[in-house]
Amino acid sequence: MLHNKREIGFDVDAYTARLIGRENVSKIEGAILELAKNAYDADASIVCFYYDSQTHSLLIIDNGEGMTEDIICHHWMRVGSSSKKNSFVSASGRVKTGAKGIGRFALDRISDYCEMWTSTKDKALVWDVCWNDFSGSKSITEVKARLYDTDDTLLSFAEIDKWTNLQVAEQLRQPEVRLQGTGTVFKLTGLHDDWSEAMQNKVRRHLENLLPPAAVENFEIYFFNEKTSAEAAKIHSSSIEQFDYKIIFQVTDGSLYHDSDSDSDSESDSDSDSDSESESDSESDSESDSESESDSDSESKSEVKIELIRNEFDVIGKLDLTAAGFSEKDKMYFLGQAIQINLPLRQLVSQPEGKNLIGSFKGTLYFNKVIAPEKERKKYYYKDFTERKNFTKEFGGIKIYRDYFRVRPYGEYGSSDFDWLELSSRRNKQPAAISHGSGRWRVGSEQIMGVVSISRYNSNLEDDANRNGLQDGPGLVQLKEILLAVIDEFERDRQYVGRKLDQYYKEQSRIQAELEELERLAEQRKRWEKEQARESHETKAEDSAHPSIAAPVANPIQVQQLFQDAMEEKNQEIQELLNEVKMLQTLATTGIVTNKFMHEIRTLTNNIGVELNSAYEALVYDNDPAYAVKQIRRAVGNKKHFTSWFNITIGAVSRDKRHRKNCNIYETLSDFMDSWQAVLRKCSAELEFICEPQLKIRCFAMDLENIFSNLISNSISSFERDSLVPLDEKKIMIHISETVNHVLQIDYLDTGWGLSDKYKMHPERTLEAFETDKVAADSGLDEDGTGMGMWIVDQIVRDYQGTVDLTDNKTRGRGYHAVITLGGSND
Amino acid sequence: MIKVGYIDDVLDQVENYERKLRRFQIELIPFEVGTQKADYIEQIYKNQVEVLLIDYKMASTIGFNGSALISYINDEIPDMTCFILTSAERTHITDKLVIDNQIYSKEIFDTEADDPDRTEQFQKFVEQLKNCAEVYQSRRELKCKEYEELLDKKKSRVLSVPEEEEFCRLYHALSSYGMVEKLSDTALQSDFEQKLDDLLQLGNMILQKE
Repeated sequence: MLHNKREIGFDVDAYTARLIGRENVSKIEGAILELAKNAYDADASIVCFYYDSQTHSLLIIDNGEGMTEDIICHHWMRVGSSSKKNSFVSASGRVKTGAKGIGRFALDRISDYCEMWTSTKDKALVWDVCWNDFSGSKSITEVKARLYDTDDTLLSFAEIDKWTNLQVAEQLRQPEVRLQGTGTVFKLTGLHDDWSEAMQNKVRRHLENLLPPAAVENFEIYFFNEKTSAEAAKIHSSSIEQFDYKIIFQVTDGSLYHDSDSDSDSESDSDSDSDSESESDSESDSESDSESESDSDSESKSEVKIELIRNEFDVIGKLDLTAAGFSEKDKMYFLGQAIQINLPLRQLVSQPEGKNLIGSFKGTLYFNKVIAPEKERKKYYYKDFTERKNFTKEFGGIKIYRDYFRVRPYGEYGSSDFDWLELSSRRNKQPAAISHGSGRWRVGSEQIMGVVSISRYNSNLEDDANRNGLQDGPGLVQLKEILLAVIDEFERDRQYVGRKLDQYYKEQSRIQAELEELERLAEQRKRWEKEQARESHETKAEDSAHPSIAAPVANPIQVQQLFQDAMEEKNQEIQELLNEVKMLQTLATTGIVTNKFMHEIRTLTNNIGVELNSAYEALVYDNDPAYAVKQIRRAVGNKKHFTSWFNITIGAVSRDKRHRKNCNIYETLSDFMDSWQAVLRKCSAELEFICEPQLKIRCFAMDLENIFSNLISNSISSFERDSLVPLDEKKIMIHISETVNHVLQIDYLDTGWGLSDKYKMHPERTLEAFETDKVAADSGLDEDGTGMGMWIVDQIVRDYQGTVDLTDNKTRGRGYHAVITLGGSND
Repeated sequence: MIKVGYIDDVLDQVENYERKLRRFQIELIPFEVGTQKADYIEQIYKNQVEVLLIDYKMASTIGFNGSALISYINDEIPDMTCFILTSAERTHITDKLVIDNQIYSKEIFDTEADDPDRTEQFQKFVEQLKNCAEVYQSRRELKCKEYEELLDKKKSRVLSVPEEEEFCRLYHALSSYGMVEKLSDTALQSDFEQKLDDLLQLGNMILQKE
């Protein structure tokens, strides 16, 4: 039985409240930025930070809307309460950035004592508090601040007449600065930090980075001490004047973009005028594809619009663009026209159905190289960048702004979050140069910088309570995925140009060398003829009994021998390296195949164990020798199956396959295909192998096997992909024939699910290293693709001057089709 | 002898598993595999199984994995303990749909010709199966009491709609195991429908009078 009901309230120790505040605003620069944000949220057009070293005090002045007594009592004095929680658009239309009701603790972070003057249109008030009152064991309700009415104006409270920095004082008194009416002034004394020159510079740098360049109108920040000139007192946002590439992107969620920015430099013509000859431009296909789909789900309509501006290459008028393999459209791009790329979001993110978790946002990135060897400058026709400084130190890396205010610490130079997209580790994995024929060039973290603009309207990107970044979660993961995809498009374009220029340079160098050699030979011939003429003249004049003394020359046979020796040595070295590469490709393939079939291998091992154990138990416990024999036979059958596995995996590195020889393809692959057929039968799949019997090729047998092992294991992965409706048929068809000029053609087709959305429009990307979709990881079994299989296939095919054509996959509903040609031996 | 159901898209070892479990007084009943999850519930009742062993990797043949099937079965029959029995490495199953100690490797059946450690592991596995079956049995007995109460209410025609539904569910589950008396189709007819019929009849009578 309950009686005498009483309601009792919670309370909190004052010190705890202070501790929460300090935890949330732990760094001085964070505290300063927080106060600047508060001024912006209050519709101020100016905020000043004045450090006076004589009194060791800090004055913060803004001309915002000020606070009424009601706001001070019910919001300012109430920890965790913010008037911005629900009404977050200011009277002048600014989206307010704060909401957690902890910004005022920034004051506690800076000083012991705080005096505030604040005035609305109606009334001016003064409020003061000593933060040390929070240190005792009092309850928070026992700590009192004081509030007074005042006749002081903003500038009289700031005691501007007593300032030693007369120049700045004069400037702030000007009517156009509008520091005469409403606003708020904080006088902070008993500062906690040593406000040394270095510290002031650090705060200045942070303020310079607080706002994105040229994005916020009608908001000025001043930071000064007694000696700062009026000109230097005004903070200018860090900006980038020079760039090699500018990358503008915009993510749309299929509905209207919540954009309060009138400066829409990223707004682009939605028409794609891409050049299909350019690797980077082939995205136009995907755009038209996405447009043609009548998908009613707005999320799946989300797309990423990218504009790339090439400003790196000084090629116009300097080289024959057509001879270098560039198209007419490329010429326009080199002249500054933006390359337009539109990508459906579902191709870029790991969320099922490509769901847009964030909403619309946009950004601008800049690529700037800082150094390049002289040879490369010449080869790639780089524009002059000798005067360029390292922008990253000043500007930082890729920074995030929410409603024009910096979300720290992303892209902060020198911090661990500078490279928050992990571009460095990505580059370490793929360290190829831009000229590399097959490897991917990846941008370095110090070469790229820029701004990502998000808004309070975006979902799944909430600030961490401690103002130290965004909350971890699927939204942040998706943001990273999108940014990496945007960067990937830029990298592809730069590499596309780099490869062509490299090829052109090599061609030009060869022609130049040949010309020089011809010139040298002609000169030699001329000299020789002159010599001959002189000698015949002298011979007539002199006594024929005295033969002329020939100039000492090297023995041509010796020279030839030396040359041959050197060449042989070189060739041997190349051959050894080639063999090493082949062996590594084979071992990698063995690893890939074994990894992919780990489950089947484990099942096979288990089955043999269970069968042998059952045979044992049948004899010992059941006295049933017939059953025992039956199980032993099954174990032997499974052992044979293991042999098939070994033929495919370990057998691939056997010694006889490591030599290049003339192979009859059918005979070479016959046993190998038998082994695969046995393995596939276990997976309820079928393999049809048709090869014209007389076909021959000079090759390493392991090369052919590696091609097929990688293709077949990919097909099996596809057959085993999770699906609500199982595949009707699991079949692989391989047909090898000869086309014109003894070129071999391998036609590979399977009845699997086909390429995933990620690669559907760009199947050629599967040939790049580390490219893999995430289907395996999503299956619940922790098996991930290595992204190396098709890269190995491509490498081998290139060795044989062949091609891998995957274009049919763009239009196929299901199934995977590869047409591979092998042009013959490359020796 | 307890009855353990076994769901696997490849049944090549099932005879070995059956023989081994039979020595421990456990009857292993292989289920027919299909793509409809509801069919498995019917097979559970039809075969009166008390515990389930389910293979993990079946998505490519039946469209879902063992853990997804367990999730479904436990929604329908919360008291039924289901174990994953797989060739995959236990730590590689990352979908977090089944608790770790209910995942077993198929290797458990290979006691390596009476190797003491392996035998002990297998015996523990068997004990766990028996224990789960006992728990299932006890809970069904508890359910019998609930059923009896609902049956009384039904007879007095005071069952609410949710109670009616619970009554039918319990009847279906318990009668499958022979734990309650079979009822005629008429007896199973919903009280709610009967009441509705009565009400309509009354309405008709009033109308006719007018």
